[in-house]
Amino acid sequence: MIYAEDLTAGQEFTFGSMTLSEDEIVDFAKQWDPLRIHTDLAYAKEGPFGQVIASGIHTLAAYQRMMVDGFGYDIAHKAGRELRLNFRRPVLAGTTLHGRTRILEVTLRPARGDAVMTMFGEVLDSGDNVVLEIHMEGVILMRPAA
Amino acid sequence: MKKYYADDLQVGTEFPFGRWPLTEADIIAFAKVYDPQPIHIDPVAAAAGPFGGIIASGLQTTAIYQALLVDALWNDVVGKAGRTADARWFRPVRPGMTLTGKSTVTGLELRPDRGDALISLCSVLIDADTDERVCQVDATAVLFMRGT
Repeated sequence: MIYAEDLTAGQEFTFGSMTLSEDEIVDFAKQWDPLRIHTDLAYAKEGPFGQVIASGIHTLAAYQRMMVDGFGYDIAHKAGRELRLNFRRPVLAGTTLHGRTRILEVTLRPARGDAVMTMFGEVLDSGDNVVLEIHMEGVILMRPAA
Repeated sequence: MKKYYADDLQVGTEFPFGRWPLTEADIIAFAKVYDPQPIHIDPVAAAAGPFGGIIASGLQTTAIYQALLVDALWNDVVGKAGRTADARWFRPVRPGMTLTGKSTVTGLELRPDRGDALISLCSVLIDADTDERVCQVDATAVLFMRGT
């Protein structure tokens, strides 16, 4: 298990990859972001990208899954507090995404047995273009006393 | 169908959200695919954790926000692109909770030379039973202005 004491400012992690197919983009968006640019192939074909693009929430979900996989499901995460998202580029169907994240700050709170951590993450497409930037603040548990 | 352009909105305009009930099965099903941490998918492990049971992934809460906002506003707006979103979570979302809330226009910068506008929205999700604030998302997006 990865605890707050194992994490320090400047550490970098890379993870991935995950490919979002057209079917997955449409299925996700039908449930969570049912806009035609994400769900309607014929409509999207006439639009600015010539095809459906992934919901930004879908891209964020892919990042989260890649990160959880990357950490081996094994980080002592207590709670998310804040997420600041900057959508930089559209994510086209068939794109293979990968991610990276850098720890910015870890503030231990021994009296509470946890730490506030801030991270800066990026999701990149097959051409290594950044499609989404993510500033995250969360609370990580400290290692339990022996 | 009603269609809003940027010119039809003003600071202070509110869009009430529908209701989104959430079961334990919903929480586990979502998290198994996108956020498979024990606190979201394993009721036994989560019972011993800081919240005494599973809680929804913050990602799922954010997805519910988007689904409610699409229904309340985006489906009726002409043309747009999301730019930024700042999501903050204040309380755990537990099985059995129903989320609702509203979105308020907090900024509108018309850019007639580009035919569009930069809109800022503050969306608040609350627990429908207690009215307690669960999540807030401050977002910016680009809308089209009405053609002349």
